[in-house]
Amino acid sequence: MYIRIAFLVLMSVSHTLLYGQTLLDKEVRLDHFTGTTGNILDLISKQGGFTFAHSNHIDIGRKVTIEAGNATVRTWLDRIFGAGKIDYVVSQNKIILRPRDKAKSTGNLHTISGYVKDAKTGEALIGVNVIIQELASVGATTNAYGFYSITVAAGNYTAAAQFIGYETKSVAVELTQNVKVDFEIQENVTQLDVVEVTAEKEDANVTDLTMGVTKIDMKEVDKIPVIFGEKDILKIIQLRPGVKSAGEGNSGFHVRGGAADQNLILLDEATVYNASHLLGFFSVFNGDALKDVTLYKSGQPAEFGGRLSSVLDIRMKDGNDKKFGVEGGIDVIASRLKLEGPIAKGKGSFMISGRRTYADLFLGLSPDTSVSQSTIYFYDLNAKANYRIDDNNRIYLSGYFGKDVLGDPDDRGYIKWGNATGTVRWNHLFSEKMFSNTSLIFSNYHYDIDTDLGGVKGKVISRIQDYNFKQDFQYFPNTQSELKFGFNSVYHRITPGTITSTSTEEAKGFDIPLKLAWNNAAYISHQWKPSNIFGLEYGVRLSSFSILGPGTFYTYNASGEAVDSTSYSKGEFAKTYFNVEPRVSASFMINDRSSIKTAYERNTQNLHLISNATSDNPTDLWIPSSLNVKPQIGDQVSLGYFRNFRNNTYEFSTEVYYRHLQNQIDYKDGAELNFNENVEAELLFGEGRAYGIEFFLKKRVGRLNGWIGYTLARTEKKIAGINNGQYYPAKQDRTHDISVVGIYELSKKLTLSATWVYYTGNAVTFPSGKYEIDGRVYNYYTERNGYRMPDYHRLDIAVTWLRKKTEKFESSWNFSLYNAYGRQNAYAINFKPLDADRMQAIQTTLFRWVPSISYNFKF
Amino acid sequence: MKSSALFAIISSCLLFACEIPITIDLNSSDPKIVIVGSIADVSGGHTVKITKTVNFDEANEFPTVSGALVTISDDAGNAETLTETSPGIYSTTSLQGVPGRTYTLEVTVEGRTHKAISTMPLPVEIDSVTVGRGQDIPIEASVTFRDPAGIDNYYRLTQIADGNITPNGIVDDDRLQDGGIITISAPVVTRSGSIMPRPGDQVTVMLQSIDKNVYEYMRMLFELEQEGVLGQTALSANPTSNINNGALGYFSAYSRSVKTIVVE
Repeated sequence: MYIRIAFLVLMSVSHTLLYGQTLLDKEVRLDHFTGTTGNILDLISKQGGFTFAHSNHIDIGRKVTIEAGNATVRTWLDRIFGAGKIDYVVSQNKIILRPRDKAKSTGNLHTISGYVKDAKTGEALIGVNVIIQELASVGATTNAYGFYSITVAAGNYTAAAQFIGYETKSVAVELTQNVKVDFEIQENVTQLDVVEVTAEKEDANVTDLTMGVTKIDMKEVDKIPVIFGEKDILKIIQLRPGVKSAGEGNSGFHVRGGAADQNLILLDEATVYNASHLLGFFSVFNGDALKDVTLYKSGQPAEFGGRLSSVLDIRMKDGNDKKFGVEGGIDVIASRLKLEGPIAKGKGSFMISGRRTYADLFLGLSPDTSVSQSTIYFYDLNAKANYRIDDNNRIYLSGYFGKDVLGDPDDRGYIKWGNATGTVRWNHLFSEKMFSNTSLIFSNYHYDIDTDLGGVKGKVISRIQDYNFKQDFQYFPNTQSELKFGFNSVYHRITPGTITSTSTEEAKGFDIPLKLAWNNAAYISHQWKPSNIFGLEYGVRLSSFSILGPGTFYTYNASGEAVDSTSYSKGEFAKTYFNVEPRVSASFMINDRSSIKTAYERNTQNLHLISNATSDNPTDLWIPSSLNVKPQIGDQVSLGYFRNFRNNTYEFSTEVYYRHLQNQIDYKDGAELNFNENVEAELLFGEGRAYGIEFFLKKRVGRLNGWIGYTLARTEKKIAGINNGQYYPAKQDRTHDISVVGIYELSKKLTLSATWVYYTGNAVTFPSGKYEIDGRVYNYYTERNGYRMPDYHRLDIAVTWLRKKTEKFESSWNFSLYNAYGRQNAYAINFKPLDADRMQAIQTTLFRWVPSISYNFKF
Repeated sequence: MKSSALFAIISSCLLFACEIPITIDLNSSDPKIVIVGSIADVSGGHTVKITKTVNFDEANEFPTVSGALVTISDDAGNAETLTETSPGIYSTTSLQGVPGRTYTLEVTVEGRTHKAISTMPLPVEIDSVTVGRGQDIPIEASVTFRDPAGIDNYYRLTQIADGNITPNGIVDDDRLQDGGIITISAPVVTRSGSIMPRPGDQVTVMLQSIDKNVYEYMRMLFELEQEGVLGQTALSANPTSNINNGALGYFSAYSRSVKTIVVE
């Protein structure tokens, strides 16, 4: 209660102090005039360069006469309406007029609800702002399925849907009962050289409640240069502050110092365990199939949980429900093809998108038979279908299947790995105010290795299977509040790596027991936006993680010896961890162009990736929490300042964060991580901390647009047994990180783009001496991660040529050059003998001047 | 695991990777004691070598450490103080290793005492040796033997050339093949150091049965020499030594099986 009062005081103070100074104090000169109050408002708005909005209780038809003169807007308004009769509320570049006596007389509240879709494709649009123009602070945002709901008093209103890159569309609503208003909005085609003032949502970064959220514009993705011309959202995300690439050409990423496994990556709600192909050089996400990509660096909504550092929420396209379409592309690495169309016009649609690499065709040309006879490829298949049963029920089916195959020329073995996910969802409207989504999700990550294990032909199988049931509710009780609640139950089945012998020798196989776990969570969160100035979202997620039998569970002492073991039979609970994860975020408008936001959240993590490799490895090991491995806990506080300039042409933000981490995991020196039944004995536990500051300046519109991001950060761990128990930098610790992205529209047909990245080296372990064992020389190490890799920088450039664009057919070419000035960046540094007497440092550089070309078409 | 061999294909496939020597300013470190000692199930001539670390940019000349007090004892009450036969090298004269016994090495040097314990496993006899062209370019010697079932065994394969034991970076365990017939292969090293023995050359291989700690040490040591995917370092840490009090190196009590073959 106290908090609420404090907020109210703050709000009223800010109202007079801050808002009092704005548009209302602008001097406006008017000539002598007789006409309606409405006419005079028009004159003032013309002179002042802003607009008025008013509720229908304001009489704009009354005849008045004014005398010529200079006065502030406030004075003029007082003259025509009478001082103190009505409220003047400044909202962005607009003054809203409403009766002072707004003690909501009518008890008759009604709901306007519906869906917002793209007019051309019928795709449901996420994050569209639907507002009631007459009521300044009243609006709603469409959810992940394009649904919105607004409850207001009966009356005549204008409802408008506003979305960046789309024309605003408004509809007159006579609200005497609950109404359904579906919007179909048109993409803005002639946007680049005009500065738009129409779509007010342009200032979303300032006014939104969320902070630490990065939305990727799928249109930008097409233009930004990437390696091998293979457009990749994960590499675009890495160009944002607070997000760091895992290495040269790598799609792996670290968010605010978090480890790679601390990102929750969801594709249509299904967890993707390994988001990369071909050792991390490509992501599993085929850009053609994606609709919306949102990264949460802080203030993760309570419906997400299970990872410490970020949530990457990726939604696939639903498919065009108006007409059949084909889209595709050919580049140096892969070809892509997408088909979409209506199932029953306006009732449902499907989308199927595939991609396959053909690097193996090039290998065939190599004179080296060990190369030409190798197998190496990957493919992806995204498929989705949806069907609207009636106004209140809709069903979605979506799936992803991806696989990498890597084979040895002499048929000595292969490795195959990949993800498969499947989601069945049912959207149901219990009422205009209550949206429900029920999901059944299956996800399977696996790798199979067929190889020669020390003279024995063997097969290695590893799987992570999730069976997930998720129920989410969204309730919109009134215009200020939105309630989200739900629960989630996941059954994890982890096969850590079973080796079976396929040769006839009596050699036995090697079976690491299956690990079973059951993860339950329930959450509730309330978004409360009492005014345009202040917003608050708070919630809590309760999670439990149970380790299930059958199996023998060991407890290890500090030196990794098993000191105790207990056996559990099938279905028995070996251990359950409970966690309470509070989340709160608040935003506070300083004026109509700038805001301050803050957030705190706790996240816990019960699945841990154990890896000592720098890049993603298909054989990286995921282990659940156990008797020895406690859930990782992360608490983050963050504070941000957001400001837009020049009529929202530029947006600027800076955020500081501090995260404290508990139960962090590192491995012992020389730990054997693969195929080790007692892998937990190889682990060490401790705490960690990550902190930093991020700056982001973006030019949103104009022929030249793009952004500059800078991050100053530190990530450290403190683990007994490593570096004498002192804080030491984590391997992803990187002090400075700069990225610059520029897109320039030379003409309607030609777009140039460039990105430049610079960062200081990650923490790395280098030797500080050497010694001799049995006649050979070995490096002597004094501390872990005590050195830094050299600085990294790189420029990529691209040209996109829109060759043809008609209603029926569209084609474009993209030429790009990765690492345009051929900087020899260090991918790895090794210390090897130079001759019998000396050692030397050898740097491995991967990519210099990698040109690529791709052709894209759509009809 | 051999999966790294598969990944090597990628490195060659990408065709883009290149390696250049660079200069890195590495810290200097205080010299540390390095002890390498062993005892086998034969009599006499077991040695302990004591040297020191040097800075990375210095020449590969490792100072020997003289004047240390070095003793090896077993759990049956036998003990011998080793004599320094050449600078930094301390040898036994009479002590014979017996499989099954636990040996303790004690080295007192520069005011500190370092202790290591190693248990000598029972010997495992080589059944056969073949020399043939390996899967890669060097000629390989393959040793086949039957692993004793029901116990954890650890092996180290070496060769004897010019009377010296030549390590070749191969250790193995029976985790996947307990009680089975195991074949371990290693490139051949001959008198001249050449890896291409001619017909008529003799190749002598030695199969050492080592204890778990020594195996772990060797596994990590050899991993230091390997390179991961695309030049990434496989391991950047000192192997966990069975010698205490901050010394590097290892002490191994091992039983041996030796066989000689003439290359056809």
